[in-house]
Amino acid sequence: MAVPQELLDILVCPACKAPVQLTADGQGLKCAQCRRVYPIKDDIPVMLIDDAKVEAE
Amino acid sequence: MSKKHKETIQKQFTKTAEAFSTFAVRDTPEVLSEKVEFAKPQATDLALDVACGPGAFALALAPRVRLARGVDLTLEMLRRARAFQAEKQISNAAFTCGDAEQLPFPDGAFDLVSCQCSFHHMPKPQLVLREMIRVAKPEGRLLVIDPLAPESDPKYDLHNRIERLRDPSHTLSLRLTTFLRMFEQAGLEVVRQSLRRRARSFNHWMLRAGYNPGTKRYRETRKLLEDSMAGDRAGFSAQPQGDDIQIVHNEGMFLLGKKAGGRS
Repeated sequence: MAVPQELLDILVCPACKAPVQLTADGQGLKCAQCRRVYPIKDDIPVMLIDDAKVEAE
Repeated sequence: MSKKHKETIQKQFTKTAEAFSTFAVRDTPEVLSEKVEFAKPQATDLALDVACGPGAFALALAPRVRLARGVDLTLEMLRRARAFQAEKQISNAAFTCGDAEQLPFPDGAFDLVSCQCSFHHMPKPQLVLREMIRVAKPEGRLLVIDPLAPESDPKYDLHNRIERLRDPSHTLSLRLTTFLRMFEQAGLEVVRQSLRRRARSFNHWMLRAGYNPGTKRYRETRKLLEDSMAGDRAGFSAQPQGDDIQIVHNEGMFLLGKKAGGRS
């Protein structure tokens, strides 16, 4: 997991602008509000609404 | 931006990522350095480069600021940016894949928000400008750099037709007067403005779009440009140069601030 912490700290969900948190498996960033999960590919967060999946909880 | 246009941009810049970032760098180190100086970077700045491509500007800015971030719609470009970052051993830069119309950053986060040579790809540049304003601090600065289209209508149309033939993801080069009106309407004031003539090789320009002289697209674009040369009907100031043609992009550089009491 090499996404710099300082970058994670400032990223928000592009849809609702709420903070995102690293998922348990370290493979995505989850919005606390709308539950979209944005993938991390090659250590690059992909913060595109069309590429996000909405998790059940 | 429509999903279709986003896909066109992603397709174009994934296809050309190697040419764009390896063979045919748009800006020489001197031009890049001139652009960095124009932005008046401060050592304490948090900077964001919107539509950063392979990261040349963000990485040139990084040594002059606290942290430089780049955001781009095309993942392949960001992979290149990361590789350049590793090569240059720059630790204070970070890259994110994101849409310029819906930036994944909170309000008022950055001291300097730049977007260079990308407005002409955007169907609604005013939406991008609004997002840049949103993520900039109230006292933050915006830097917009883009090639300018000629003011006269016939030249403007042919200029953009040639640009679009070369690169389908090119939407519209804007006039100087359009930029200034857009800044005014967005509640921005122009702090610094500079217009630069950037002479380029046509062959190099085509290579950067992914076309060498053997391709149909190269021949079609060259013919349209050559037909426009008498009387400079497309405003490229094109001049033959051996087997090549020298063209000129008039580049506008704008350093902007939010007007006191203006929209945030």
